[in-house]
Order: sequence, then structure tokens, then C-alpha cells
Amino acid sequence: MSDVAGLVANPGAVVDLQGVSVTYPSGHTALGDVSLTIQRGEFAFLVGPSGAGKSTLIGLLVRDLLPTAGQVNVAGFAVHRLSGGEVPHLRRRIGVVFQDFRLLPRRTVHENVAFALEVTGAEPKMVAAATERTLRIVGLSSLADRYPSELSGGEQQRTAIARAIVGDPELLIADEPTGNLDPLISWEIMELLMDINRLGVTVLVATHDSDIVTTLRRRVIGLEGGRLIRDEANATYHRVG
Amino acid sequence: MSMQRESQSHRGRLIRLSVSAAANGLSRNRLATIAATTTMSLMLMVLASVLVIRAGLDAALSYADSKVEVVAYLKSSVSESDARTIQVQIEAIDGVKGATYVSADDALAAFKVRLKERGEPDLTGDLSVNPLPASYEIALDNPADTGRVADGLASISAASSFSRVIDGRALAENLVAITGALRIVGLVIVVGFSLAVLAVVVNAIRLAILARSDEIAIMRIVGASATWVRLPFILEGLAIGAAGALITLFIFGILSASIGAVMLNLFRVLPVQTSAILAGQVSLSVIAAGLGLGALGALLSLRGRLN
Repeated sequence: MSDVAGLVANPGAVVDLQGVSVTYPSGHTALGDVSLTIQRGEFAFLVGPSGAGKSTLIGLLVRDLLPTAGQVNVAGFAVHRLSGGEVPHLRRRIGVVFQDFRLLPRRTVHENVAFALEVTGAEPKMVAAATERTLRIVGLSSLADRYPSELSGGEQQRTAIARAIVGDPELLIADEPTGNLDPLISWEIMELLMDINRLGVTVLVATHDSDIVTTLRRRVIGLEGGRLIRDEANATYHRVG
Repeated sequence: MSMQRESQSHRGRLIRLSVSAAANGLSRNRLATIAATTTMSLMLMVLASVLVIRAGLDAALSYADSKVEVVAYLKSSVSESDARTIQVQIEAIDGVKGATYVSADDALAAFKVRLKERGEPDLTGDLSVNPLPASYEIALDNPADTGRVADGLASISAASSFSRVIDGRALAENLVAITGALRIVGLVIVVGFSLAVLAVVVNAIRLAILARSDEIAIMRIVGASATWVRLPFILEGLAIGAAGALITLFIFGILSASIGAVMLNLFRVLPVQTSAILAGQVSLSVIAAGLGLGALGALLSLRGRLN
């Protein structure tokens, strides 16, 4: 990606925000002067109440939004000054998982996962190989020909995760990945995300699930009212003390 | 070499996936597709009709233009040698392109030819003398100048040699007015219909976008480029345009014989050998307008939606 305009200064960082603000035309500040860095290979939680700015932050990382001030660097791309034509290239370096899975109902598990590569113009042989490998990683090889409606919630989320990582992204963003799942399944999904992290993918999980955050004791980035109020390693969901 | 092959196969995959997505989209929104295609055909039929009628009027106008605009009939007392000297005076009048002397004998011969063309009996053989006067047929630089040239004829010294001056003002003015009006009315009708067609095509493509909104959202988030997202919808617009054009040309093909007959009746002067060229031009215009409107409708529907 060295040919991309505006290479980031900090090459070890997958995410590097410097003084980032997002103010809407109405005057509402969704994010105010946020600076944070996530190094390659890290696993971090993004926590905070509704309206804290988590979605805005994720929107910035995938270039759904542009900052009104500051710099956003993701996976080697200077996102704040990325041209429209470069946006797809950024997004191919990022996988995103949503609370509501967002699978295509008329496509099988295999087709849903392969779709992510097909629409980027990847070669069919490469698509087939990457899809099969990814389905093995998420444990869905035996369900490859099922349709989403034939799967449990956990299996659907695994499919969505497979789709997010099939293109070998540097960063996996999971936005409330366990919000629609019961606790046992939630733990399975979290274990899968940690497995993926162990494979070298940087993982950022936005969540309200205090049990998971507190139990896993990972880095916790806390937002409130659009401000970064905490950024601690090995932390719990609620600030101690 | 291998990069070139890779980019070719990339394009091949793009086209294959887009065509199948477009075909899916069109069949999924069958009602909107039928409505858009029907409206498109109706509009293209109007366009084709306007083009055919205009071509007929243009032919009539150029025929009238090429004919004499002003005819000055000479008194029978004017000798042929005197008449020849008048030509210089006539051609000196401002706005006159040229003057052709038509002797009484020439006039009679032409009259006989016209009678024969119309299939009427030639009774001129019964005449003992030629009743037709000699004349000057005067061609003009600009067909609208008949009045000025007629006035000029009245003011030259040889004016007393003329028994009668007929100016083709009325015919020329009528033709110019009709052609001008038809151009404007035709343009207004075609533009009006085009806007209606655009609205229907935009509606059809928007429905297709809506039906595929989940898929589009996924395509965007996994990093599909704008071309991959948009091409299926542009193909849908082009398909609607192409289908409309084919239906129109098919119907015009069936009706072409009767259209030709009507045109000949209306204008009489439409040269038969141009009808193949005209058909070619109308077909090309219909196809170009169909594809253009389809693509434009798709682009308008996509504007600002799939960034």
C-alpha cells in the first residue's frame, strides 16, 4: 500500500486518531478531540453508553464519516483525506461485523462469504480457496450449503465473521457482535474473535456486555458524550475506583 | 502480459456478475420494468413519428425552395429578343439568385408533361395557338424575400413588359411557418415525453436499488468499487432503453408500408429513394434515444445514493 497517498507516520499502528472531532451541521458534537492509537495485533474493547460516540468512531474508521477536525489513519490509509476512489481499498483492509449479522438471505453460507471477495473482482479460484479456509476457521465447513434462515443466531454471526475476515483484513471491527445472542453463544463468538486476533488480526469490539469485558481483561477504550474518558490496559467494564 | 490478462478477466467477471445482477433485478421488479419499457416505447414512437413527419416537411420545403419563388409573366407583345434583355435587369435586383427564361413553347411542353404525370388527357393538340405566355422564373437567395423581389420587379424600367407577377410568398411562408412550428412542437413533445420516461426509468431503477439495498450495503462495506456497485443498475437502464427501442422499431417496421403511403399522400414530393436512408436515421435515433434515456435514468437514480 506504499503507493497510497498520505502514508501514516506510525507504521506499527493499525488505528491512529489525532485530535479527531465530528460536529454535525446542527452543532451537535458527536466526537470531540479524540486521540488514540491501536497497535497491530491488539485486541481492544470500545465501551460507553448509547450516544457516547462509539458508532461515530466506527463510522470514521470505515470512512462512512469524515472528521470535521483531526487526522484518522487506518491500516496505512490517511482516511481524513482519502479520495472517493480509494475508499474501497481501505475497506478491503477492514472487516466489519454487526449486531444484526446482515447476511444475504437468498445466498448460502458459502455464497455469503464468497460474495465479499467476488464483488471486489477477485479471481474465482482464489475466492473458492479463501472461502473454504475461512469457513474452516469459523467452524462452518459442514454448514456451507445452508441458507441463513436455516442457521442459529450464533451460526449466523459466525458466517458474518467469516465474511468479514475472508479478505485477510488488518483490522476487524465488531459492533455489538453479541447483542442479539444468548450468553453461552456470546462466549463462543468472543472466543472466535480472540482466535482471529491470535492469527494476527487487530480486533476492536464495541460492546455493552460488561461480563465479557470484565472477564477478558483486555484494553478498554471508554467514550462518553463524545469524549475519550478512559483508555486502560487489562481493564474491567466499569472503571475501578 | 499476465497483468493484462488479469485485468481482462477482472473485466469479464465484472460484466458477468453485473449482467446476472441486472437480469435478477429486472425480473424481480417485473411490474416496474414493464411500466418503464412501455413508457419508453411510447416515447420512442412519438420521437420516430416526429422525425418522419419532419423529414417529410423538410423534403417539401427544400422542394419548394428549389422551385421558382417568383414568376413574372411577359405580355404577348414582348418579342423574344426584347425579353432576353430584361434578364439582366431582373438579375440585378437585390435578393435574386437567378432568372430563367421560359418561352411560350417551353411552357406548353412543360404543361403537357404535367398533364401526363397526373394521368389527365392532353387536349392541347386541339389548340390552334399557344395560349401560354412566356415568363421568367426567378429563384431567390432567401425564400422569405419574395415580397421584396416582387416590389423590385415593379420598379425596374422593364416593368411595363410584365403582364402579371406571381410571388410564391404565401406558399413559402406557409411552409416555413409550418416547418418552424413543427420543429418547436415536435421538440416540446419529445422533451416532455423524455422527461416522463426519465421519471419512470428513475422509478424503476430506484425500486431495483431498494430491492438490493442489503446487498449494496454489504458490497460497500467489503470494499466493492463504485463500478461494481453501479454497473448492474446502469445495465438495467440500458436494457429498458434497448427493449423500448426494439419494440418501437418492430412496430414501425410493421407499419412502414402504410407510413410511406401516408407520407407520399401528405407531401407528394418525398423522393422514394430517401426512405431507406430515413428509416436508417430514424432507427439510429430511436436506438440512441432509448439507450441514452435508459442510461441517464439509471445515473439519475444512482446520483448521491451509492457513495
